[in-house]
Amino acid sequence: MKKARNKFVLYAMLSIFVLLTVLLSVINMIVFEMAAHDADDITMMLARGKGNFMTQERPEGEFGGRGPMGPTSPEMNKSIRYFTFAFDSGGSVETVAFQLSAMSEDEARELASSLKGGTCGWVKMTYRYRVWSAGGKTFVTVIDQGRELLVAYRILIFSVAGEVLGLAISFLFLMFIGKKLFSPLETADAKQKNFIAEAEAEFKVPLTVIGADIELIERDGGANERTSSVRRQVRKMTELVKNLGSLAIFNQNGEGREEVSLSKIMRSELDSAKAKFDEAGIILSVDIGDDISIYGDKKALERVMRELVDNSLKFACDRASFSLTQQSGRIRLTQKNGTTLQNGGADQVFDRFTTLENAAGKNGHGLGLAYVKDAVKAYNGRATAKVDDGEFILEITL
Amino acid sequence: MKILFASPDRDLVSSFKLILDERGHDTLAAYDGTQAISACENAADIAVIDERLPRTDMATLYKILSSHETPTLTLTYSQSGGQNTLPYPFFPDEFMAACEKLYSENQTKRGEST
Repeated sequence: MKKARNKFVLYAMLSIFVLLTVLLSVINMIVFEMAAHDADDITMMLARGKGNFMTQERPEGEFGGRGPMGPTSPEMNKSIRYFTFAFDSGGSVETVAFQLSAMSEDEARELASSLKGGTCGWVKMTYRYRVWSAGGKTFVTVIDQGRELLVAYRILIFSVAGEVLGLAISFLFLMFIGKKLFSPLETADAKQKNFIAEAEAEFKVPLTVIGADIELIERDGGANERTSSVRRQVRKMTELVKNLGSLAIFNQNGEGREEVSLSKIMRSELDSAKAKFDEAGIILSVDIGDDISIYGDKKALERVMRELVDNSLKFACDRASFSLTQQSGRIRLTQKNGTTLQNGGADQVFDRFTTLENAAGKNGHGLGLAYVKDAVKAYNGRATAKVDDGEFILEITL
Repeated sequence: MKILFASPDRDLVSSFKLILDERGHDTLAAYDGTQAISACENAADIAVIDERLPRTDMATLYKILSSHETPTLTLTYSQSGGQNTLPYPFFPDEFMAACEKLYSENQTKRGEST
């Protein structure tokens, strides 16, 4: 449940991050685009005025009226820092206008000369230029947009700071909300686990008593079909109760994990089961890579291997094979059982209480591979099953 | 073999007492901790104790059993039991095998120490 809560916070944070980034990027792109657009309007006005602002009439009204904002404002010709140089084909340069303090006229001329070949754009970060021709001459007009760009950069800085702050506040808020949201679920989950554990314990003693009583009844009156049936059912229920308990205590929180050698566990489980395979007439082949290990819960992993071996012992008809390999950091465990089943996917074997057609009379309860799937899921792994050409193939990737 | 069987479930005690009696063993039944502690005085060969035995502090009970050098088989409710434990549910054969194993181990240990 803690994992689900962390996932919720992570996905919500990712969504907020993407949303804020896209929104603020669009706003900032528009702001910078507008700064360039305004600068181009001004250089166009200067081109129309042959390198200088055309004389504007004083607008009517008190103080001449405020007039429009932007490049058409009557204040423009006084506030813009710019220069224009004219280059003729003979190589001589004429200063048409020079109203700039940040560089000397010589430096400006040199800059203009370097821009002759272009059309328009940004130069030296904050200067916008335009190259135009008139009367056989090439004119280069450069305006300083530093002040306008400063506003745009401030908006950018505030956007980044705002996003970081927004993400931090969202994180705290989501942690708080996540706790509130998942608290009832965590309680329900704990109650469910507790209920299963309690129910399991309550079933255990009666099953033991029934098992003992059946033996006593058979001793007194002899075994018959009915007592044998009760005995079989008790055995079945005993297995079910044992498996239910294991599912309930399965540790998905990653607590108690350590470096576990899968190679060793698999070898040990198969060695212990070797005699049983021989007894059942199942030809066993094994291919286990050396030193394949994983950071995990040793008991849970031992149980996974035991369930796989048990599955082979119960359902393999003539042969079984196990392989454990590691490639590019991924561990692959493959179990193959000889089978009489038809070709096709068989992922339903991982569903609880579900068995395939070949399970009849095999004492399978559909819980062993459900445990395997849960365990594999806890390691972000994948388990698949299929039947192909007389082989039941179970693959686990970790 | 004299076996102390202590469990709060009377049906369980009664069924296993019959099984043990039929197999020629002498069974001392106890249904709580106080009775189990009293029964310790009767020098049982082994003690079978339910881990949820009421009216006792299990540590004290184990200490008393240990002072009488009585090997103990604990009937547990969890699957992951340790040494000398038998997890519920179990069948009479499993129970007898666990008792006999504990008894013979204890006999061997006593033989080595004398």
